[in-house]
Amino acid sequence: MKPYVELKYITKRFPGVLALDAVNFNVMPGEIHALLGENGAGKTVLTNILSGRYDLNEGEIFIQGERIDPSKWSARAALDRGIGMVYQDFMLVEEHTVLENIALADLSIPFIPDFDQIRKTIADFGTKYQLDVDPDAKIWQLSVSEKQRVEIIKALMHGSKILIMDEPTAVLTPQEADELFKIVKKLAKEGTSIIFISHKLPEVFEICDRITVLRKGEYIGTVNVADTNEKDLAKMMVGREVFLQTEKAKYKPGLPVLVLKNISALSDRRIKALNNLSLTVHESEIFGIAGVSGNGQKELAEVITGLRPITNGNIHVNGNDITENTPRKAIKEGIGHIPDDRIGMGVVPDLGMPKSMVLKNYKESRFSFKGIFLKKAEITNYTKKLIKKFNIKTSGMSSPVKLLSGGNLQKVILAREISEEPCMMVAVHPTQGLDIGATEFVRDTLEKQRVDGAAILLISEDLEELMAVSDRIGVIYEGEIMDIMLTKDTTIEDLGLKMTGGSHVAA
Amino acid sequence: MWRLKIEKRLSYNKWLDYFVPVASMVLALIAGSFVFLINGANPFEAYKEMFVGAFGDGYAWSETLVQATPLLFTGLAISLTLRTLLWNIGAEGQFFMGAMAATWAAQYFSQQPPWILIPLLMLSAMVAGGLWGLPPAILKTKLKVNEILTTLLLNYVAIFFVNYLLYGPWKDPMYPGFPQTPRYPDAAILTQYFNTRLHTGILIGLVVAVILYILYKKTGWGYKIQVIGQSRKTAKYAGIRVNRNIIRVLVISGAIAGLGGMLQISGLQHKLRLGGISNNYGYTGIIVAFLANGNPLAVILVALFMGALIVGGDSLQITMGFGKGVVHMFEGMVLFFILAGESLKRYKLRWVKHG
Ligand SMILES: Nc1ncnc2c1ncn2[C@@H]1O[C@H](COP(=O)(O)OP(=O)(O)OP(=O)(O)O)[C@@H](O)[C@H]1O
Ligand SMILES: [Mg+2]
Repeated sequence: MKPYVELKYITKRFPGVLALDAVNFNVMPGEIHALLGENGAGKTVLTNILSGRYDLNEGEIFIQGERIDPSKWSARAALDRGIGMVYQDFMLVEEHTVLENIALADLSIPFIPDFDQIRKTIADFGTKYQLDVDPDAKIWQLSVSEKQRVEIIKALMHGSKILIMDEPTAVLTPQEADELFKIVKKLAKEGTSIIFISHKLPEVFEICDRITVLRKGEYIGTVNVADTNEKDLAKMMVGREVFLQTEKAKYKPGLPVLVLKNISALSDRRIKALNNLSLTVHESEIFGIAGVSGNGQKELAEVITGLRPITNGNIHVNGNDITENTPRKAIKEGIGHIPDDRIGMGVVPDLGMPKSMVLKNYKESRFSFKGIFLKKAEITNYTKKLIKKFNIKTSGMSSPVKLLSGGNLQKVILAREISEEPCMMVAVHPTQGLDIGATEFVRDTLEKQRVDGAAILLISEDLEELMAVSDRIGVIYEGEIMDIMLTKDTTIEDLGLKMTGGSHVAA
Repeated sequence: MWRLKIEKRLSYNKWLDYFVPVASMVLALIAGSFVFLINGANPFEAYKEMFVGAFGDGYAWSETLVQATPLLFTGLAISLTLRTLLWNIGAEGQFFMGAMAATWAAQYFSQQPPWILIPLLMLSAMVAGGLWGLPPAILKTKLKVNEILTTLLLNYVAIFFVNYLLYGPWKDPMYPGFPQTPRYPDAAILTQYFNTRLHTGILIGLVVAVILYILYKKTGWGYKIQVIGQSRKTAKYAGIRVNRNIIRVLVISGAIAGLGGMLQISGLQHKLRLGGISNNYGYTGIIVAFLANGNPLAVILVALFMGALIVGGDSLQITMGFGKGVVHMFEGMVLFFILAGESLKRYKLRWVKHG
C-alpha cells in the first residue's frame, strides 16, 4: 500500500529555534498514526505544516505520490486535498446552532443552503460513526466532547481523508475519551487516516497502529505499536529512562490550613455551582478533587483564590477569616494558584519571561525600590535562575511567553507560583497536556511542596494522577462533596462510580 | 486563479517597526499627489511648498512646534489609556475644561506673582481635566458603561459649558460683541521665545513625555497597567485591583489633557476666546497616540509630524490657493495609509495560486 501523504526532510525554523530538523513522516490510508514527543518537540508545528497553516523552510510534501509545490501549499489547498484538522481551540460560532456551523464550514455549499440535506448528512454521520450530536443545539450549550464531534463532522463534510487531532483527549474526561476512541476506530475502519497527538501512552497503545517519535525537532523513528512498549517509547521520546512513580513520603497531616464551611457560590451563568460544600486541607497533605468536569471544580478553585465571591458559608486560612475573599487577600495569605486557563489567566501572553515571573511579587523589595522603580537586573537574574532550576526551554528570555510550547508555559507558571513558597496551593489540571518528563517534574515538585508542609488542593480529571499523588480524595458532584476517602482505601473504579453520582443514588 | 490570502503574523521582526511607517509615508505621498493633480497642481511643487512651510526656516519650525504642543498633550493623555486598552475620546473636553479652570484661576489669583500663579493655573487645569475623566471612569468600573461613549458625550458638555461662560458671565465687558474673556494678567502668561509664538508649553510637554516613558518602562505601576491592558483576567488573578487602576488611568489621562488646555491659553492665546481653544486637538490626539503605538517618546515625533502637516497644509492654502478641503483631503489620505500600514504589520498578505 502507498502512503496517502508523505513528508520528507521537513525543516522549519523560527527566529532562534529550529522547530523541525529534516523530519520524515508518512500516513497510510486508514491508519491511526500517533505523533509523540516531549513538549516543544515540534508535533504541533509538523501538523501545522501538513495542514498548510505554516510555510516550510526545506523539505518535500507528497500527496498520493504526487509531489506538491510547497509555494502552492496553503490551508485551503490542504483542505482540497483531503487534509482536515480537528481544531483544539474550536473554531465554532457560539451563538449559532450545530447545523448552521456545519453549513458555514462547507465551502461548496450554495448561497442558500439546503438545510434538510445537511441535516440528513449529519444524521448519516451520526449512525455511521456514532457521531451523535443534536443539529439544533446552540454551540454554547454543548459540552467539550460534543463540540469536538461537531469539529469532526465539519472535517468529514469536506471529504477529509486525513484527520489531524492535536491532543484531543487533553480536554476530555476518561469516559468521553473512550467514546472518542470508538469514533476514531470506526473512521479508520472506513478508510480515514487519523493523526493522533497525545501525551498519554496508554491511549496510544489502545488505538494506534504506528507511532512516530520526535525529539527536540529531530526525527527519532517510526515504529509499529505491536513491536514496542511504553518503556521503550518513553526512552525514545526523552532519551533516557523515565519513572512516572512519584516517591511519596509517609502521610502525616499537620494542622488545618484551608477550612471551607458550607460554601455556596454561583457560576458565570448565575446558576448554583457550589452547594453547601465543606472541606479541610491540612499541612503536608494533598487533597484531590475528583469529578466529571462541570460539577463545580472551576468555581471551587476560584472561590479559594478570591476570584469568585461566595453567597454563603465561610473560608478560613491558617485560622484567618477570608470569607470576604479577593485575589489580593488570597495571595497575601499565601495561597498559590496554578490555573486551568494558562494563556488567558496564568500569564500575559505578550510579555516576556522576566515580567511573567514577577507577576505577583514585583513589589517585593528585592525586585523594586519601595515598590516604585523596578530593579530590572534583579528580575532578570531571578528569571535566569528559575529558567535553569525548572529547565524551561525557550528561544529567548524576552520573547513572548505565548510562543512557548504547552509544557514550558506551564513550567513558567509553576516556577512563579512555587517560588513564593505558598502555604496553600490550588493546582487545577497541573499536568494537562504535559509530556512524561514534565508531568514527572510537576508531580515531584508538588510532592516536595507537600513534604515542606504546604497544603495542596489538586483538581484533576485524570484519576490515575489523583490516585498517584493525593493523600485524600473528595468526590465532587453537582457542587457538593459527596464523599471523602483516604486514597489507599479507594480504587479508580470506585471513584468513577461515585463521580457520576453513584453513591448519591445509592444513599 | 490567484487569490490574496491574509494571515495573522504570530510575531514580526522589529525592523518592520521602522520599515512600515516609512513605506506607508511614501505610498501616502504618491497617493496624495493625485489630489493635487486633480486640482491642476504639480504635486512636487505642492510637497516642496508644504515642506518649506513647515520646516523651511526658523519661523516655520516654530509654528510647527506651536501646533505640535497641544497634540503632544492630548497624544500623551490618550497613549496612557491606550496602554490600558481603554479609549479616552474625551481629551477634547478635558482640554476645554483645563483651559477653563486655568482662566478661572488666572482671575481668582490674579494678584499672585508668576511663580505662584503659573503653578496654580497648571494645578487647577489638571484637577479640572482629571475630574472630567472621573465620571466615565466611575461609570465604567461600577456599571460597565463603555467609556468611548461617556468620554465622547462629555466633550459636548464641556464645549457648551465653556461657550455659555463666554457668552455670559465671563464675557469681557470691554468688548461686549465678542465671546471672549479679558486678557490674562501678565503674571499668568508664559514666556514666548525667539520673537515667535513658541512658548514654554513644549518644554513641559517634553518633560511629561519623559516622565510617562519612565513610568511605563521602569516602574511597578507602569508594569501593572500594562498587565491590565493586555489581560484583565490575568491582572485580576495576580491580585491587581483592576477597577481602581482604571479610574486612576482615566483621571490622570484627563489631567494631562487638561494641562495641555491650560498651556494653550496661557502660552498662546492669552485669553479664553470662542474658536481659539482647540483645533480638534483632542481628536487628532487619538491618531497621534495610535500611530505612536502608545509609546510616549514616539508621541513626540508623531505630534511633530502632525504639527508639520497642519502648518504645511496652511501654507499650501496661502501660497497655492487651495481650499481647506483639498488640504484636509490630503491629510486624510496620509493618515489612511499610515493606519493601513500599521495593520499590515500585524497581518501579512500573500498571493496563492488556485486551481
Ligand atoms: N509561531 C512560532 N514562533 C516561534 N516559535 C515557535 C512557534 N510555534 C512553535 N514554536 C517553537 O517551536 C518548537 C516546537 O513547538 P511545538 O508547538 O510544535 O511543540 P509540541 O511538540 O506541539 O509541544 P507540546 O506538547 O507542548 O504541544 C517550540 O520550541 C516552540 O517554542
Ligand atoms: Mg503542541
